[in-house]
Amino acid sequence: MGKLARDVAIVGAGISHFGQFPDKQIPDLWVEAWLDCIKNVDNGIDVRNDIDGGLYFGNFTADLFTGQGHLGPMLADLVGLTPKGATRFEGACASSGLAFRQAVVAVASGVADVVCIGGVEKMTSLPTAGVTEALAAASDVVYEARVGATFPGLYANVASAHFNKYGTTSEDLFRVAIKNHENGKLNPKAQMQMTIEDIMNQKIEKAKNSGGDVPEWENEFDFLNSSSNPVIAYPLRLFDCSLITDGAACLILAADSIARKFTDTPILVAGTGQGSAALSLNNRDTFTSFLAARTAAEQAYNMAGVEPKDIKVAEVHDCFTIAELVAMEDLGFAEPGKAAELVKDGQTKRDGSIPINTDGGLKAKGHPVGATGAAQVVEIYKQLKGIAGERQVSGDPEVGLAHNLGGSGGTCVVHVFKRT
Amino acid sequence: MAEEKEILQSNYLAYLNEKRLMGSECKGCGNVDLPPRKICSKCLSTDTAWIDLTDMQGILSTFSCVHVGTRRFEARGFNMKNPYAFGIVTFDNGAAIMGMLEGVDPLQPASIKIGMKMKLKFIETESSCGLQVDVGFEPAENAAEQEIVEEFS
Repeated sequence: MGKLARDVAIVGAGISHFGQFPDKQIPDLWVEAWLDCIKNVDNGIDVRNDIDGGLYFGNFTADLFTGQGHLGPMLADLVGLTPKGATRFEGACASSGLAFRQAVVAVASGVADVVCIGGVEKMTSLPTAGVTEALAAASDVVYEARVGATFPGLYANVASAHFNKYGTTSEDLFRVAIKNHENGKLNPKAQMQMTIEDIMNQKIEKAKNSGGDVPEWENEFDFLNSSSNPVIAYPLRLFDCSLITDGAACLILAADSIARKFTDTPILVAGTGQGSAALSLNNRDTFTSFLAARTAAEQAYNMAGVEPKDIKVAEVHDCFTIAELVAMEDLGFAEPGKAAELVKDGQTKRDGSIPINTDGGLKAKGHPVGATGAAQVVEIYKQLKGIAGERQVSGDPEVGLAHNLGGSGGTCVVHVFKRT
Repeated sequence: MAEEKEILQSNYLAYLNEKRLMGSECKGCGNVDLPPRKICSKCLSTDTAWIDLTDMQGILSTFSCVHVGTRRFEARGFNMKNPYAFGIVTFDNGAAIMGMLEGVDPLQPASIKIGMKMKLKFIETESSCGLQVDVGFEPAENAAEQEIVEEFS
């Protein structure tokens, strides 16, 4: 119990560009991520012969966004994986985290030696209200959505409770957004490759050029406190929300015993964990922490034999700024209510003690919900191999973590990775 | 009074349409589940029965004021400038449920206080299937007085 039957390692990882792409549909996004992944398998891979375990694919709701279901075989066929098994996993925004975990279990069990994991979401074909409605399907549609819950609204309930219990402030949330945008600026695949200061200055320039009133913002906080950052669901504003994104991600996993055939530096999956909780927020014991996340983290840490202080780079599920603070507390990076202090102190920046969301996170890189869990693992793979380019964290990190949350915390998947 | 209906989601919603908020009470451990459950969430006993929570008061545990809603709420006239509030109210017996909040000002969220005493206010809307009644809350009278006292103290 609580152990993998044999070691499993990542040997390849890639992602598509993240953004709003009217000319790219699900098959196009997926093939882009696949090609990026395959070209990055250091020693090459013979797709038809090497990948014996087929495709483990994460997608939340192509059905609602585009009308397309049954993605497994459709997407396996496009990259030469048929007739091997191809399965789609759904756990809202944790869909490809779940797919990754099931792929790990498959390889560890000996059912397969090499498998492919993918994730995709095509979100921008609907207007914002339609996206809000599709995402609301991840909440309880009768007990939550019917009485007005939206995803920003649910996380706003978490934020209100966190503010009330711990004294967390909107400024604490702004710091998370500012940091993630700083990282996103260095990620050529990110949807928003701009800092919040860049965005602010762009708005000032635009106002100057149009001859209108020029805003007098002193700094980013001033800008984020202004009407240019409208309230979406109090206390959350526009810049507290992640993005509506088209994107895909892809990974190749292999049994550790054969992983060096594909790369000299495979990244070991040291621990895997998954938790669940009542779907409705009102049926939880607390609104300031996610039981599913604490459960998944405990399993992953125990399996990996590490503690929170050992993690040197982490991807956490910042679908909303408040979610990054709660994730830090659920993962044990900070005591409950203390995550904001760590952020304020700069410890979650790339040169801090626990760099978080070095790729820009869901906030700046973007959040194609079904691709997010896999994309997080892609970033940790790059950081641990030292190939993250301009945004590479210093200190040669050996242990990393990915935390992928579904819905308002009904599902959570946590993985711990180690350089071998 | 004993209720004969089976504990089903459809019956919960049918009660709601009669403006009754019904949960379930476990005869084994006394736990109250809302929405109702056939299997007690605490002790997993199946010896559960309906309990009427319509006249209970609770406290506001958390809330939000939504400026960007789904298309269904947009159709009801809510938008960026006309937000609505929803939140979670917890009853004395520990049961908690989500509902829209009325009698509060969603444009003045600072005036909405976690810990306020709330009472049920059923919210009626016309849907394609006819009249729909949903769970909602409004400040209990004593909560309003309490707030005024706070404001002038």
